[in-house]
Amino acid sequence: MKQEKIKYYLFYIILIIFWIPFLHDKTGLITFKPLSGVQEVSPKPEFNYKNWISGDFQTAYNKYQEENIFSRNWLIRLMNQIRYSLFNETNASKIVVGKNGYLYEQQYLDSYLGSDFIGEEQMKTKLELTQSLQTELKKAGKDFIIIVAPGKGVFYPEYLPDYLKNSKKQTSNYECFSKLVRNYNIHIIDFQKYFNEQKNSSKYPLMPKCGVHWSYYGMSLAVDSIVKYMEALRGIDMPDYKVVNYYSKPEIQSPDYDLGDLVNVMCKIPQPELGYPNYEITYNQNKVKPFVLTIGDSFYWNLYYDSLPQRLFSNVQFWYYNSSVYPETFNSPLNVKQLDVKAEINKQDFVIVLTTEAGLSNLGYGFIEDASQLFTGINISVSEDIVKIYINKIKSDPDWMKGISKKAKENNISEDEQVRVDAEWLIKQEKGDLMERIKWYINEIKSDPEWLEAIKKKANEKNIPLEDMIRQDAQWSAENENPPQ
Amino acid sequence: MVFSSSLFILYFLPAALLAYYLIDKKYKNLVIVAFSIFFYAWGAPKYLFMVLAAMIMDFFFANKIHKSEGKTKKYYLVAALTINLGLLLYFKYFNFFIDNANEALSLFGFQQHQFLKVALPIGISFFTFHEMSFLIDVYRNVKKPLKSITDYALYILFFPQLIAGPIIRFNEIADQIENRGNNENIDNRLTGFFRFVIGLSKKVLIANVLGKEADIIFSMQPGDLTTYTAWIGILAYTFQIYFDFSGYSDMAIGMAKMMGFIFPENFNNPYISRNITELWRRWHMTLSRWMRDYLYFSLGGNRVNSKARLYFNLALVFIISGFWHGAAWNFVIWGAFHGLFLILDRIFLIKILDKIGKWPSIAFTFILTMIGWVFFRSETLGYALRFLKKMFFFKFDGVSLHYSYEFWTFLIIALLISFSTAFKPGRYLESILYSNVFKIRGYIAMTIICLVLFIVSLSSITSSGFNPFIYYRF
Repeated sequence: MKQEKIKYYLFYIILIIFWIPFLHDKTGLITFKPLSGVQEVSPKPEFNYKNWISGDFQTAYNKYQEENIFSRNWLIRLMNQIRYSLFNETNASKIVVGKNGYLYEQQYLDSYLGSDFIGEEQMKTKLELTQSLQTELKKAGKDFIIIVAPGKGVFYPEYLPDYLKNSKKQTSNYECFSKLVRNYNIHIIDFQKYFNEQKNSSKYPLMPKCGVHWSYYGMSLAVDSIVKYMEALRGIDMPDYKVVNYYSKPEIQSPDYDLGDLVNVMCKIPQPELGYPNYEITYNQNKVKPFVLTIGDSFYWNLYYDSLPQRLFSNVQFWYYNSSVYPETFNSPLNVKQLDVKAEINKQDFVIVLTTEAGLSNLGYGFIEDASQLFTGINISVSEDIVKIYINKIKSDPDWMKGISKKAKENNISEDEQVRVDAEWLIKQEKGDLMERIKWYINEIKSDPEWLEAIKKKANEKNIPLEDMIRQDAQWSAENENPPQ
Repeated sequence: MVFSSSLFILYFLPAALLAYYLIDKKYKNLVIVAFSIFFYAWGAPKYLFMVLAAMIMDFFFANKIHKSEGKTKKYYLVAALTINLGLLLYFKYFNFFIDNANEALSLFGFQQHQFLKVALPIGISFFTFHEMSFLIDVYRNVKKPLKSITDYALYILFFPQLIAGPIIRFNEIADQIENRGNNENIDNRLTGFFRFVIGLSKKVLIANVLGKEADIIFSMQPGDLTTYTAWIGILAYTFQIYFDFSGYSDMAIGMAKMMGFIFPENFNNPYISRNITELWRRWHMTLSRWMRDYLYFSLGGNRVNSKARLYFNLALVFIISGFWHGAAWNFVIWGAFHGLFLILDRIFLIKILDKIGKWPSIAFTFILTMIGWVFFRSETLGYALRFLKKMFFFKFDGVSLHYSYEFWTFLIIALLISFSTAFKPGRYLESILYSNVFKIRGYIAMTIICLVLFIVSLSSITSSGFNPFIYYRF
């Protein structure tokens, strides 16, 4: 009898466990820590006969229910923990688990392995454009700097999983960039190189084990170099920047654990101790706080969260991926497209492009091309007919269109406008070598006396400087030698 | 609603079980029927009335068959079978016939005809076979027809076996529908739960993981495959289909047991078979028995006059079995492939395999089975042939894939489980896990183990959007 009772109790336990989710849904007694990362949230579907018969209601309800079951967050963390602990795997999109629990974002691994290599010719074109922009900005009294922040693929190759280490490594954008940039006189601060050199001797990790970006320690060292570089470049004396000491925090400061959060495991992944800086920034009337526009990615946020731009510069103008404008977007979305870019640049003393190895395939996120048009007079925009062709190309690509809606909301523009932005970006990518051809034609014109003579006449008739006329003709020739398809 | 979804596990099943346990004995069948109708209406609402109408029609015909004699009895049977098979042929094979007819037309230079594609009601292959089994068993006087249409509806629509089997012959379950008091006990409820969880774990933790890689490899162009990749792909699929299907069967058997129904076993460690004949005594056993009882015996079975006729019967049964699995030529080839080896077994192969020893014969049969699965898995016959070419003509350049530790772990686990019962300890362990009764300590231990597996399986389902079920389309 006792044994029978035990069997029944066991079965009741089983039934209770089966019924807990249903009961919880009605009472909401227990809550679990939310998951990190962006999740698509499905709305509760509305029931009607048509939806039921077509099966749409059931499909939508299945999805809705999957996303809302009791203890979903806990169950997901449990599975993630099992997979992470036993197999060194993660369900998180675009995150790779390396050795000793080091986490990488996929795009940095692609960059390290050379999967996104744009080719030497394209890189040369980008550097040419950068050089000419720098020159023109200098004429306008602005200093232009490229800052290459470190990427984890290059910084921590020793923790890459073996299957990636053993895979074929090709030339990367960073390797090509580093090789070619010596041939130009571009103002560059290469923290990838600097961090690699300091890696073994630094007191704290320069890049966190479970974060994408430089650590606060690494960033604090970088800012010291940036300030000194800016002072030397412009001959100014900026506020004194000093790190008094470094200390540990009981809780890792965001974004040092951003990848770790996305992995959504139950137990925090053990980290080497990270150092957080105590700054001393002194400013007096003899110091100069320059006006600085920064175009960059999320590496900028480490500086922002420690209020460094706010204390070192006169303004805090940050164009996130050359798209969202900060600090304005904190209150209400504002896009670069809505600004008078030339006027904004003209307000600055410095224009900084902050990139990483992963960003080198699209150096400046279109800013360098846009600013070049404004400051060099070279218009590399194309005819409306070609833009329409590319717009149609995008609209007929369902996968591309999926991202358009989201990007449009983020950029606070209509979907049609977003499609145009993407089309123009596509065109620019494909027309990258146009600058090279323009430069060739400029040389051709100058070395051909007859051609030069003809251009002088045109310049006089139009009453514009000869240099501008030569550039315009060179551009026309370059654009028309290979008519767009 | 697949069994391995949180909607089924955490909402439908608990509600069904609770209603079943609380309701008075005389309404239990009605509760099952109500939940089963809801289950089908959730998955295929468009076809619910067709299924109910076919079911009512068969109930009517069975009664007519039972009350008739001689030729009239036969006519009723033929009429009922024709309608049932007609529905199956129409819904499942209409598109196939039209596509092939159009291919033939275009070969001869004629214009192809455009037809609206017919959609496939879920479970039609299974419930049609159940209906046919009912009609034939009544015709053969093996069993009387059920008196109550509710009871008959339970046989046809019982949700644990409705969409993917096991295929229960009417005579196996008729008595249980009307009276299963002896089976409704706490031991069956507990062991039923254990069986359900074992099946869920097989499906979710093993089959799904292996299935991911199998899908990646089988979606590659044959030109990109290396010999190594091809073998990994077919190994992954071989274990995926076994753990997926046997897991689903375990869940069905477990759920039925929790409600007092004892279903027949559907799998018995098929990959330790020493020849194809033995394989079919261990793989999808309920289908084999159905084909044997209702098709093979009707063709004369083993009692035909000539060996040629015997081999013809075998080939036909297996071609039809293949075709039953799917409306495509590669399923027919798969069926014919197995039929061929069954014939060869009878002629000489079994004798040779017996002579070469246990493990070589197991390995040979396993490789043959894998070759068969290439046809089963491939989208087209052409792809299957090119895949097989890659398997056997060694080619080392192609796209190299990375396989995760998780994949290798579960591949090895699948291998160990599949072949463990070729050894005594494996058979012993299996007898414990699938026992019908335990000592009290055994119940406690199994409850704890199964609850852990249950939670881990639920975690896997919740955290992954990849949860396909192979046999769902039947």
